[in-house]
Amino acid sequence: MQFEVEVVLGNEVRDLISVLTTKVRVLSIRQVFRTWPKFLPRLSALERAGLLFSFTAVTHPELAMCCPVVRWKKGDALPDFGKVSYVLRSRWSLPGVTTKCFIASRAAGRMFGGNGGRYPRESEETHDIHLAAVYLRFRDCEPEAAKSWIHEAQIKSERRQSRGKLPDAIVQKTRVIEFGGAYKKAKLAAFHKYCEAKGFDYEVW
Amino acid sequence: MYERDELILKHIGKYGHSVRAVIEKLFFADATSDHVLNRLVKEKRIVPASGIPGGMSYYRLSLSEARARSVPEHRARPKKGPALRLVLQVLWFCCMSEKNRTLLDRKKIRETFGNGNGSGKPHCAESDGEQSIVYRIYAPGPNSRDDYLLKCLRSDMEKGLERPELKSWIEAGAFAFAVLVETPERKEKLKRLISKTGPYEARIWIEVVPGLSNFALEIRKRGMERSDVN
Repeated sequence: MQFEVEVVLGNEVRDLISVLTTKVRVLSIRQVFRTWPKFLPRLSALERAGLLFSFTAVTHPELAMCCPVVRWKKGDALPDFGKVSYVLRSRWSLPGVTTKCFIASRAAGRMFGGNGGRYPRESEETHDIHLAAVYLRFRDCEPEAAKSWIHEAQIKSERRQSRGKLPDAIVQKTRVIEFGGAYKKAKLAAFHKYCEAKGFDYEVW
Repeated sequence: MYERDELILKHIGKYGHSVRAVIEKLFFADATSDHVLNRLVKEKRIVPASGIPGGMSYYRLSLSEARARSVPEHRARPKKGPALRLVLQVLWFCCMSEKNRTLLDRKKIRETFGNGNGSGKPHCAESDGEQSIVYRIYAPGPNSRDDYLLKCLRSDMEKGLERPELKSWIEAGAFAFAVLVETPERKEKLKRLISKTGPYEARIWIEVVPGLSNFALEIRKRGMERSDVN
């Protein structure tokens, strides 16, 4: 049977689905509540309509995303990777909590010209929720950059080679946004080398 | 019968379904049409029906009126799901856009371009001063694959170019392919895909047109709908 969206989707609901299909892979219920508070009661209707799927994940409690841990521009001095690595690795100190999360369905992905239907792997859940937090921070503080946000799924579908480093997101065409997990010094150095070679500035959050 | 009644009935018969806002735009200079539509309903010439999400009703010809006008009966039957979306999207594309467009009769299309791939799709003519163009309309569903749509477009173009009656129109730029999508994001993605997989032999025009999920909202946004809400 053909799929049709037979519920009314207002502009704000469209905004939420558009973010889930083109900007981030997953949003936690807290993030939805912070950004689209009016639509919390409508999430189950969107699930029934086949546009969103929910699931429960065990993730590290969401860290506050105030500013990047390191920001580098072409011409800047080499960052102290050891220090950055220490900051990135020392912040995962709390036990996991259960969090209700949402992803867009494949149909929503097609309808909104993005991606959907892929649940994050267990190892990606904490990363994806925090990357969504970084995106939402951009929406608040740098709306123009947020508009130009290209998510890794789109970067992957549009680049020629299938292997190699895939940044989490690119904004304004030349600025790579990476959410740093417990990155070791060597991984940060490799990431820097990649960005430098490609001519990107970067921010690790 | 009033001349305007005749025009309204012809319009509804041609598009299959229509809504109050479109009828008011076309025949009442955006003034209210309640008195006329209510009379036509009372005379059992048109039938109001619900089904557009958002509590908006639409009008279709009654079966007796369709038979009297030799309009195919299927156009006078209520539609739902993909069929209703297609009718509404074509209605919007032809009647609510800023361009001067009109839906073409399928029989006329077959006479002009012959029978072949895509000839069963809706076609509309757009005239802009001295220039005019015929669009073959594709309205992919929300869950349809973009790569498959482009494959169909390319195949229809290639088959069309094999037919001399259509080839001359395509080469003169007087025949194009219109793709109606529901969201600006999908339009951008399709544009990217077209430039990546192109060039195409014919022009492809992509337009954002409301689907079932926002048809009622867009109508109301335009401030044209007054009392259709249940």
